Amino acid sequence: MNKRLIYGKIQIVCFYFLLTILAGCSKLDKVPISQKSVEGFYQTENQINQAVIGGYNGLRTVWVTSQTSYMLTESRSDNTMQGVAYDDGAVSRFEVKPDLAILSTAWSQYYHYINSCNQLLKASPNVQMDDIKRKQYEGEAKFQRALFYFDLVRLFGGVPIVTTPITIKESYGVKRSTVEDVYNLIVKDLTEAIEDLPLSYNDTNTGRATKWAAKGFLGKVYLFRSGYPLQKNEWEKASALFKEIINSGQFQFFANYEDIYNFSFESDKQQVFSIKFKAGANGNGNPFPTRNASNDIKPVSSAQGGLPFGGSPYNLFLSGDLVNSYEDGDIRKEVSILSSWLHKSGEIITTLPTCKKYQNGTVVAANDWDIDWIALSYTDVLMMYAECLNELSYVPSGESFTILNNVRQRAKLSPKTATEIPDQQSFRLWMEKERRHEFAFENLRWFDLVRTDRALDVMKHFLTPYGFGANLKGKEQYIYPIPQSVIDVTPSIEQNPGY
Amino acid sequence: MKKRQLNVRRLYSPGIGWIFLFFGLFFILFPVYATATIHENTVLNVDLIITGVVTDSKTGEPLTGVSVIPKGTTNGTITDDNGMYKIQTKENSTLIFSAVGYISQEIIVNRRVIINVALQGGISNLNEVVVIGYGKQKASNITGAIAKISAQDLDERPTSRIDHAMAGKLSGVQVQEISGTPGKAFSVKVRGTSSISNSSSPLYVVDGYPISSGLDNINPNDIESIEVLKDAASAAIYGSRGSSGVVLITTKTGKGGKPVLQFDANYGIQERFSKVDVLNRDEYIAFAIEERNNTWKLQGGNPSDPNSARSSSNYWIDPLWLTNPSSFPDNDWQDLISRKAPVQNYQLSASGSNENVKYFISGNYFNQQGIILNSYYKRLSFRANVETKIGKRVNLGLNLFANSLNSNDNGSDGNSGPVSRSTRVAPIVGLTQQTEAGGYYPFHAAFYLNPIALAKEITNETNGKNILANIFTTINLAKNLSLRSSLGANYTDAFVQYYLPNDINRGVGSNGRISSSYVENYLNENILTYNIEKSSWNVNALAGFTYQDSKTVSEFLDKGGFPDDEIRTLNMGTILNSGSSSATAWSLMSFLSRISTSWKNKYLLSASIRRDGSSRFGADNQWGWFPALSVGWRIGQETFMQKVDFINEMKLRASYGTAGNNSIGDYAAIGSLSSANYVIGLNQGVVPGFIPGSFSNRTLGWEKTYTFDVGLDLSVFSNRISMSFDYYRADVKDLLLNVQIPPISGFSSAVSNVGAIRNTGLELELNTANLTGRFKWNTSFNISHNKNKVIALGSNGAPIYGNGGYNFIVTITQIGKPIGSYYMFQQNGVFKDQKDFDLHPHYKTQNIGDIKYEDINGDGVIDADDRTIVGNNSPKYFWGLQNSFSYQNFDLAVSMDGQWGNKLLDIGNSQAGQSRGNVDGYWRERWRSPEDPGNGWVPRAAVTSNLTTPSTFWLRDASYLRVRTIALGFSVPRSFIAKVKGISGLRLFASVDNVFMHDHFNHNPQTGTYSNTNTNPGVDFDSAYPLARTFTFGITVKF
Repeated sequence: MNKRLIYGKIQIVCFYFLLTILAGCSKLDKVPISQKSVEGFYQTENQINQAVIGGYNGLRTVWVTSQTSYMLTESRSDNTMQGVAYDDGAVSRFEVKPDLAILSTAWSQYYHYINSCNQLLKASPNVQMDDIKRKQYEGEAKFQRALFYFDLVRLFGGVPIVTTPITIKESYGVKRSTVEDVYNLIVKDLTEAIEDLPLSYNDTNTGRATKWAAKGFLGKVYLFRSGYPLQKNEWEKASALFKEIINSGQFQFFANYEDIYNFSFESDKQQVFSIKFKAGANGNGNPFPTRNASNDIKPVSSAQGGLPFGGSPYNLFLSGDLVNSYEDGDIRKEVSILSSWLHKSGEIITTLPTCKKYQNGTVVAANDWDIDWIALSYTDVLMMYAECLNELSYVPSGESFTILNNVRQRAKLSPKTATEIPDQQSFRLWMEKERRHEFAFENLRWFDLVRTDRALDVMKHFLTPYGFGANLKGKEQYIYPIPQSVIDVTPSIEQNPGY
Repeated sequence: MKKRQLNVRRLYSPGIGWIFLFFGLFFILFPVYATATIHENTVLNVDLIITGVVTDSKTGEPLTGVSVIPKGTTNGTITDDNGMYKIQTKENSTLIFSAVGYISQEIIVNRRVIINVALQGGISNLNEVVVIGYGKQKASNITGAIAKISAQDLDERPTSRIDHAMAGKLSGVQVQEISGTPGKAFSVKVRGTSSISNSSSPLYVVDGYPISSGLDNINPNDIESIEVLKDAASAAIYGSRGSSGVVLITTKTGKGGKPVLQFDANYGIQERFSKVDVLNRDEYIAFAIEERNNTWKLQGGNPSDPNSARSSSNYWIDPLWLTNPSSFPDNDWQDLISRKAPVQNYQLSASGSNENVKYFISGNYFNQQGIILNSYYKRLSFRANVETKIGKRVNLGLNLFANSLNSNDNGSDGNSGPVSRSTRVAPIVGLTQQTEAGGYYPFHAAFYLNPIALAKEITNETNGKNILANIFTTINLAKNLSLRSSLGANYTDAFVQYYLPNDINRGVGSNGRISSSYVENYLNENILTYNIEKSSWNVNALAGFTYQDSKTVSEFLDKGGFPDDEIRTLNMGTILNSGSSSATAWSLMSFLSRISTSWKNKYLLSASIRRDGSSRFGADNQWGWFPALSVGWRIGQETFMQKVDFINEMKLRASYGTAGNNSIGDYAAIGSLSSANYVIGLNQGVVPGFIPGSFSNRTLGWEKTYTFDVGLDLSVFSNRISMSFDYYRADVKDLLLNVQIPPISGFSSAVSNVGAIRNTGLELELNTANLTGRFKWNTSFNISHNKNKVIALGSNGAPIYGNGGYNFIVTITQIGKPIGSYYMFQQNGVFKDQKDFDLHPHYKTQNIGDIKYEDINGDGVIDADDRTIVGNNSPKYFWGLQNSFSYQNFDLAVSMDGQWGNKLLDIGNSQAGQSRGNVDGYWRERWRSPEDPGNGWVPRAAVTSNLTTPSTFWLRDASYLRVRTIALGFSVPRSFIAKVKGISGLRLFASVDNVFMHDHFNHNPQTGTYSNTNTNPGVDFDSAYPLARTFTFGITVKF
């Protein structure tokens, strides 16, 4: 072979390898191809908006899609008695220990989303955008953060307060705050949110938090601060906010109870704030109707006595105490509870009522319903207002009676008179009962019992026939233990008394 | 009663008894050496010219370079490329035939002029050439810890993958056979678990190409040898990828002169090797009635309540159970989903070499039908290894491999797959029941679907293509100096079609999915080698630069709304459930260098260093150094040892080095955002939202292993006994841990380099030629011991818990203990009666008949503090034993392997006590009443916290002893085949795989189908695809 040709080839080969080497040198800095990274985010208005949307997703997660929401509230109350198999069995029986897994799941979830709000609030002042928009986004983030803390303080008591992004090192040094401090933060955030948030949104932005939503929740926070444990007597502040909402004319008391849970009216004026869902949109559907129906229900249409795509093993097991507590003719029972349903075996079951609420509207798969979930209903605002009035002073047949009787009449029940409800205390019990039926399975019952300091009596009475009465020891069980995993990793965080 | 049960269990555990059994057998059967005396004939002594051919006694292939020397002289010759020699010597002299790697033979000429010799491969590997990182070295000069298997050591049975073939063959290499699914990867660990969060499997390097796409890139029949670099000193040359060991796979090249065309055909029949013991019809019905009444009682009911009064169908009793139990079928679902299945392997290869070209070309077809209905694995593969000379200084070569894979796995290992369901669906369920078409048996859990339907109706078909092409050139730049440059590409793609028909989707509708991925991997290597060989010393030095770059793209599509199940492609689906695609990439740039030297053939030294830069590491920590040093002393070569003539070789080795593990994920250092969408607006627009998904860590780096290794190689009695002994201590530091951090930071965990573990171990390899005459018997034995200890965890040392489903904690990784130890309550029998119950503390709502837990801390209360470490999934010892025998043209090989001292957790037990489906056979021995307390170990039939509280009730002994393969071969005599024109060799064989196994878990004690991660190993759902016993027949023809 020609020698020169060979060496020529070698030169080409060597040159080629040299090129590869040089090309290679610049290739060690790989950035994620398919994933956004934290560096480089929170820098444009669009990104700030995306972070706000992430926060709404957070509210949806902690309130509806994550199982912690109902397991820690509805399962704790006398509305249900859960089976042993899942975490909420222990919750139902008041056998909660700090190592119960959903406690740490819930705790982590809340702070995960709080961190998202904190990141946004820290970055937002430096992002170039219209100040009105900036205020809106910051208001939304404060609204979200306040609601996360509102849940945390009611579930766990005085939790650590974190309002800005922190490093891992800093996180080891964070200590618990008092219940009072946490509530102060919530009030501050919501007050600022009321300032910042708009009264309403255009058609492409409805569903975001409005000034009214913030006011409604702030009123609710004052209501809770007035009850157990702080007893701050802020009924005035609360009622003023509720009154504003009522007088705004923005909201409407529906004439038919079942319309509240009707998919067709989900965007109407009954809702002060609701969690939005869409079926068939990659995990944006509502799991509530599927998850809370009996696992044995046949996957056929409701008209045939079943439920499209069936129920789930995680369903709420309704207590006889709740089912039997409705007055005859109360239509809220049949809207909330499915008393007769078709078993997979083909048998009609009438002895095991199951949850029916929200089983309405479009559904494309199990856990994928289109219907929204109401976070704060106008009825709730009205009833909380009535409660404030009663707390301020009992007025026989006054405005508070009118409101509760409107609720009763809508439920096809006869109104109550001042003779039947002769004093402030009997009005409170009446309120408690109406709220139980009006908002069954909406995760309100347990917190209502705690803030009115009725939980001990009510739950003792409820648990005793099951043989679990002795598990309920005292008011320290009004809140849950700090999750063991949290104590393990930060020993400076003290456990709640009684655990 | 309780005590008796415990003792019975202890007896089952093999322990020390096996050691005695094995060593006993080994030494009793060890042969008496027959010493051949050589008679010298001094009467006549005429010079003769003797010719002949020297061949390998096993393969019959001619041997090149065999030295032939008349005894007592120095004027010998060597055999040529065809194994021929010619020598002139006295008619009564003795010829000594010797070759590297073979046992020398002395043959008396005895006036013959043609002497053909078949040399037997030696058991000593000290003279072989061993493949090391970026080069080769004579075994005698090796200073690291390297284990090797050659092609002839691989069993004569069709295996789909090389990890299957490696099991039991190498000391320090644990091959864990998780599942019997055809073609499924095994877990391979070199010297224990070397990571906590990341992969602990070794780096595979095929003909110098580090591959990251798994072992589908190799056809086991193409393999020449497998070398495993075990200590960090050997593996440090692979830098940030070497810390879990490196497996070097070398494929065949052309050799030995004239072209050889070889055809191999194997055909085997597989049958199910084991079944899980479950209840039959009558036993099940009795159990179900008992369980449901008991459980209903626990719910506050009365066993006399009719079904209508019972709050859930879980407590219902089919009236027919009481009135006419024999009206139900008694189906054995495990038999019904199993079959006898064929496995076939055909390979055609051509190889040859001359001074200009070397080539090995092969085509292979492998087809394994699974023993579970509808499962299979097929592979068609091609290889061409070609190297040619271009002029005097330049060699150019190409290694090319391409294959096409096709397999179907109907979710067989999954906990809702056909295998699991075949043990969980009750025998009384009808053959077509538990499907949409056949209806559901109402007194049975609906989600326990029909196993036959699951096996037959699910499509989960994978089509994969692999191409590995590497073009290389070697240029002799100057005397002793050469450059090897290569450019290679590895493409892997997998296309998975999944279809779940409505019939077994509980009426939710049919579901079709496509997932596909491809990996593109490019490698450029440039290695300069300088070799100098002098009589009393030599130096081998290399320096190089390599760059590797890889990109993985995957996509996924999920559709529903199929009109029927006739057409299963996604165009028929009307609802798009989800669809996405994503990509990741990494790159690695390296500079490496090594110098090896020997002085006077006695003193050996090797030092290497590699500098790796990886895209995976944090921006502030992108480059790392990986140095290593090893020394060796061939004591056997010392003059003072020359008198000890039974010692042929004695070498002391010591090494220290560091290697890394970069399998930390492509972007682990970069804080990610998670998608968190929400629905906004009257038109219900899904709006993209994001929240932080993880912390950023700019200093995140590789995990580092520092290994100290000391070894002794010894070869004695004419190389008839050789052994290799190693002790090592590997300290793995800077382990990447997803450390628990205070969730108030926004995250429950964050990744950082904080952990440390230590593996210490002993390894022994022993090879003996027990008989070397006409009847030959060789034995090789290896045994390994590894001890793992966690040294450091996250900043506060909090343990890492592993999960057994439903948030049950079942394992713990704790400082001072082995990684991933089983952690749970210790069972102490069951509460036999009221007296027993009153004497011991109880847990939760326990009652008589429930499992009694040991009060470990003795505080009189059973609570979470009484959980304790109860064992580990890593064997204390694992071993392999191969015996090969040959007599004339027959050869017989027997391979055995085993492990002991480890446990396996069966979380299937958390389900198994519920009569909603069938339960395991041990429930026959359950507690029924104080008068009928069963075996004192199995609790009462009732759904209680017995079933949801992890305890040693779920734990099994994972020790086993197995006769893996017996293979009998027959090489048709040359004299016979010489008559058939064109054929130069013919061999027949028959083998049985999985001959015998003594174990305590369904003949599958290495499984872990629920979880088998480093921190949560050996957690099984009793759902693994069963192993098969295979009867194989094969033929090899050479032309």
